Amino acid sequence: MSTRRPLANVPNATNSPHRTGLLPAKRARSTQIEIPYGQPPPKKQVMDVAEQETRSPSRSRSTLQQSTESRLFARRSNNANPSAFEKKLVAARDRERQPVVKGTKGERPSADTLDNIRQWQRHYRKAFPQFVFYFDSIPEDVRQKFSRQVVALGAREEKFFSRLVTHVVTSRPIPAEAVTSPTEESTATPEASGDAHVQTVNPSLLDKSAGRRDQGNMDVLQRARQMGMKIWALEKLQRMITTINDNELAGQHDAVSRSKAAGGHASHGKGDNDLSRVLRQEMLNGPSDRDPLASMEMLVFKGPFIYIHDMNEKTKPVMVREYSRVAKRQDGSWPQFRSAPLGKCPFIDEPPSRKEYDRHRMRQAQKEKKATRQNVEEPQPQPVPTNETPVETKTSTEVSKPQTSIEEHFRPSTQVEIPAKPSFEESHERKSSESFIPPHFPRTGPFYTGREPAASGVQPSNVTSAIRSQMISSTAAAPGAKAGLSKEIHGLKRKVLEKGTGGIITGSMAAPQRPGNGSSLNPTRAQSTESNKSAVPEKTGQEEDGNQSEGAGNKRRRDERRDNQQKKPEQRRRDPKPGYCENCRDKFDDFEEHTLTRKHRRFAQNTSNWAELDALLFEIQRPLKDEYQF
Amino acid sequence: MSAFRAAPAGVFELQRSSSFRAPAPSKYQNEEVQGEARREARREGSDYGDEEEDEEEEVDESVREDMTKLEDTFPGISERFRLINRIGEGTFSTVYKAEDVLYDHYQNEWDVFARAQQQEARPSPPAKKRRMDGPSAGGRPKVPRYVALKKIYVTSSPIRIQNELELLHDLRGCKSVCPLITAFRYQDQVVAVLPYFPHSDFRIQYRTFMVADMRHYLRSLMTALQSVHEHDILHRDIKPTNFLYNPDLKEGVLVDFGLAENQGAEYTSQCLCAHQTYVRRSRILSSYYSKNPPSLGLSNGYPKNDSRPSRRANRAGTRGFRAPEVLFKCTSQTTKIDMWSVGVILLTLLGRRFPFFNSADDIDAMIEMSSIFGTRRMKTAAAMHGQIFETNIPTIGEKGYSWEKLVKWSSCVEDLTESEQQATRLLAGLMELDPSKRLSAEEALQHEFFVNPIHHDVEWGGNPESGDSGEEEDAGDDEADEVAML
Repeated sequence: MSTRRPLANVPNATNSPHRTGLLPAKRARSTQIEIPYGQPPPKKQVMDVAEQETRSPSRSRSTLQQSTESRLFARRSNNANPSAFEKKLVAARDRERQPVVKGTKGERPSADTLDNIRQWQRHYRKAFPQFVFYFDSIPEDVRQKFSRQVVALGAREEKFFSRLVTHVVTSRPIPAEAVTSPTEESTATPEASGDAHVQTVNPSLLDKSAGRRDQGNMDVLQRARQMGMKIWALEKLQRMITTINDNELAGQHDAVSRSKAAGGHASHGKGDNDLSRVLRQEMLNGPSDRDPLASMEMLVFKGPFIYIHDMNEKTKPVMVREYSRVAKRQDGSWPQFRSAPLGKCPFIDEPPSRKEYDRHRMRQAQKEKKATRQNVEEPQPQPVPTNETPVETKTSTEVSKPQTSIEEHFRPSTQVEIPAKPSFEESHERKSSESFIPPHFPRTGPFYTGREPAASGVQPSNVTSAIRSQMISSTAAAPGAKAGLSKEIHGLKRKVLEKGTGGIITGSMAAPQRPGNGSSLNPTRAQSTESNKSAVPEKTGQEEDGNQSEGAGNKRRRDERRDNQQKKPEQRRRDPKPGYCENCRDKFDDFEEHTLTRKHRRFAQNTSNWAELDALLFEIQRPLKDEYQF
Repeated sequence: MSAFRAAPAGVFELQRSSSFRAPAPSKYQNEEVQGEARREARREGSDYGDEEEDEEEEVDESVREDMTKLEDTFPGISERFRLINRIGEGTFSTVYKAEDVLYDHYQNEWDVFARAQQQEARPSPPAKKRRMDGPSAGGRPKVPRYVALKKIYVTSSPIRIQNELELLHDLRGCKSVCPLITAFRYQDQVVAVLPYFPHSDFRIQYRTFMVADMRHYLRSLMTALQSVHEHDILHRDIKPTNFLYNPDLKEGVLVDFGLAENQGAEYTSQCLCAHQTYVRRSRILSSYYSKNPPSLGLSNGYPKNDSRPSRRANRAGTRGFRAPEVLFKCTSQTTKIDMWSVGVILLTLLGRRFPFFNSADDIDAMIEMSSIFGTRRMKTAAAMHGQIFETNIPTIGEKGYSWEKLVKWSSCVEDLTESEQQATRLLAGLMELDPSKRLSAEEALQHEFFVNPIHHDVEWGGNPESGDSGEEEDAGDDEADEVAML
C-alpha cells in the first residue's frame, strides 16, 4: 500500500473527450462533495458546454446517458488532473498513514472524507455491473488482465465495438486532446463541427473498424465520443479499479474509530489488508509473471537516463541510471568524451590539477614580471589551463613547493591571475554537483586509489560492494603514474606506495598463520629432497619465534619482523580485509581471522575436498632431471 | 589477479625516474640489477646487514612480511624458492618473484625463453658491471633463475584453482601462453610456479609504440589467443597487465587464466544472439516491448521495487575491457569477448590514452561505449541479446563516430599515417559490437595489418612528456574541434 503512488501524482494525460465540455457542468453539480477543494470552473468552459449541449444532439444524449450513472462517476471521467475527489482520496490515505492522529480536530474531516470514499466505492460497485467495456489499442495480455478485473466487478467486455459499449478504454492519446493544446476553444470547435457532421454511426463501418481499429477513416475513439461513450485512458481504469477494490479505504473508518477508542493508531491491521490485497491482486491479475510491468509501480525518469531492459520484461533491467538534469550537457555527471590532455583517459573529467594550476600561475607570474619590467600595463590575455602538461617525474608536492615560494614572491601580480582561478574552481564545482539518483560509484573514485582496475564480476551475488571495492590489483602498476592522470592521483598513489606497498591491503592479505597443527599432509607435492629443516611452524606462540627457517639471512628478517610486530598488527586490526570465502561460503570481515576459523580449517584439512585438485597437481609435478631422481 | 603484475614497487621508482629520458628503458635490466644485487646480498648473509638493508629497502615491509609468512607456513617452499618481491596482486592471488633455487635439478622444458635470453647479447648496464666488480662478484658464475610464484588465496575454492591450473595445463606448449611449471598445495594454500618473464611496462608502451611495435605486440597476443580459442577457452581478462610483452624479443606471454573458462561452460540459457537471424528477428518482433512500445518512443520510467529475477551472466573481466555482450549480460558469450578486449588495447595504443575507457562500473562503461558508437548501433547491439537500449543522455549521439575520427581526436593528430589507417581498420574489426561479425584471432592474424603491412611509420609527434607551450596550443585547437563535434 505504501508502494502505491498517490493518485494525485499519476501523470495521466488529459484524455477524456468529456473533459472540455461536461466536466465543469458536472463539477458544479457535485459540489457537495468537493467543497474544500472545488474550484470554480473557468467561465469559458461553462460557456462552451452550454454551447455544445444546445448544438449537438449527441452531446445531449451523452449527458442523458450519464445521468444513469452517478454524478460522481461523471466527474471522474476527467482524466486530466486528479480530481478534487481523487486528491481527497489521497489526502485521506495519507492522513491515515500518519500513525499518530493528534487531536480530534484533524480527524473529523478525515472521517468525512472516508465517508465520501466509501460512498464512492459503494456507488461504483453498484454501477460497474452496468458497464460494458471495449478495449482499444490495448495489448492482448493487458487487455486480458483488465478484462478479468472489470468482469470481477460485474461489468463485461465487448470484443467488438458496438452501441452496447458504454466505456472505451484506450492506451492511445484521445484524438481531440491531441488537437487541443493551445486553447480550450480550439478543441471545442472541431468537436462541435464533427458532431454536426456525423450524427449516427453506420453499423457496417463499425464492424469494419472493429477488425482493424485504426485504419478506418473514422477512429473508434472519435466515434465513441460521438456516441456518447465514455473514453477512459487505461491508467484511469486501473486507478478506478484499484480504488474500488481498496479495502483499506473501505474499512478505514472502522479502523479509525477503533483506534480512536483505543487511543492507538490506525495502522494496525494493515498487514491483513496487505495480504488479502496481494491475494486478490494475484487473483485478478493472474500470476505476476504474465505482465510484470503492468502491476508494478514505475519510477518516472526526470533527468537524462540510460535504461537497458529485457525486451520481454521477464527480468530486472540490466542497467538503469538516471542523472540530474543539467543546463549544459557538458556539466552532466555521466561519462563524456572530453578533451582530456594527451595520454589520459578521455572519459575522466578532471579539473586542471593543483600542480598544473600552480605551474600556470608561475608561468603567468613570470610573464607578469616580464611585463612589469617592460612597463606594459595591460594584463596578459589569460589562456585557460585546460591542458595539463602531463607527466613529470616529480610529484605534485615536490613541484608545488618551490612554486609557492615563487608565487609569493610575485604576490603583487596575482591580481592578473584572477581569470585563471575561477576556471579552476569552476571545474571543481562541476564535480561536486554530481548527484545520482541511484547509488553510484563516483567515476573518479577508483582512480584516486591510484591503482589499476582488477578483474571483477566473478563474485557471488551476495558479495557486498565493500568487498568489491577491495579488488584492486597491482600496487606497482598504478596507471596514474605514466598514464599521466592527475597530479592529485600522483600524490595519493605515492602515499599508497610509500606507506607500504599495499601495507594495508596486502599486509592483511598475507598467508594466514597456522595454529600449530601437526600437519598430516605430506608437503611434497612440492618436490624436493632436502626437506624440513624447519618447515612447519610448530610453535603456537608468537610467530617470530616459531620459525627459524633459513639460517643466517633469517635473523635479520626476524629482527625486522619483530620491529614490524609492534606496529603492523595494530594497523591490521584497524584495517581488516573483508571478503568472501568460496570454501565456507561465508562473507567475512577479516581475512586473517576467517582463515583461522574452525570451519575454514576443517575445510582446509579435509583431504576429500582436495582430491581432484591433488590428482591434477600430481599430473603437473615438475619433472626432475635423471641425475636427481631417486 | 594477474600473475606478473607490472613492476615491483622498487623498480617502479627506478623506472619512473629513468623512463622519461629513455623512451623504452628495459625494465628487464633494472630487474637484473636488483636481482643481482639481492643475490649477492643474500649470499653475504647477515654479516653484511647494512648493505643488505640498502637493497632491501625496495621491498616493502608488509610485502616482506607476507613473503616470510608464506615461507614459514608453506613447508618446504623456502628450500626451493627464495622470494624476492611481490610483483603483482589480484583478486584471487598474489604473485611473487622468486629465485628458483633448484632450477638445475629439473627438466626445464618450459623455459623456452631461456635460450632466447641467452642468445640475446644483452649489453650489461653499467650499474650491473659495478655490482659485479663488487666484493662478492668473484663467486659463482651461475645466473640466478627466476620464477613467478602465484599464491592463490585460501578463500578460493579448489574448483576454481583446479579450473585455472587445468586450463593452463591444457594449453601447455601453446606459443605465447605462459606455461605452468608446476603447482603444489599445502592444506588450503596453493602455489603455482610460473616462469618469470621480463617485460616492459604497458604504461611506457602505449606512449612510445610505433605502429610496427603495435604489430609485433598484437601478433604475439593474437597468436596466444588463437591457441587459447582453439581450445575453446575464453580468457575473459585480456588486458595489458595480463600480457607481458618484451619489446626486445618482440614476444609476449599471456598470463592469468584465473577467470578463464571453457566456452559454453557457463551457458545457463541460450541468449538470443545464439539463434539464427530470422529467429531472432521474429522473437524481437513478438516481444513485449515491440507490442507495447512506449508512447513517446522512450520509456518514461522503470519499475520501483522490482521483484523480477535478475538476468544472470558471467561478467568476469576487467572494467574498461568488457565486451558489449558482457555488459548486456549475454548468456552465450564466446571467445569473441577476448577479441573485443584486444581491440581496446589497440585503441589504447593508437589513441595514446591509457586507460581509454574509465568505466567505473558497467553502466559507465556502457555510456562510454555508447558515446562512441551512438544510440542506433547500440540499440541494434542490445537487441541481439534481447535487450532494449534506451537513453536520452544528450552527449550520446545517434550515429556515433568513426574509428578514424576517434583515433585522430584522441591521439591529437590531424591525419593518420597509412599504417595507422591500416591499424584503425583492424581496430574496427575488433571493436565490432556484433560478436558474430567481430574478427576471430585467426581472422585477425590474416588481416592486412599483419599479412600486408604498410610500413609508413612516422614517429608520433605528440610526445606528452616533452612539450609545454607548443603542445598546449595544439591541444587547444583540438579541444575546440571536439567541442564542436560532440
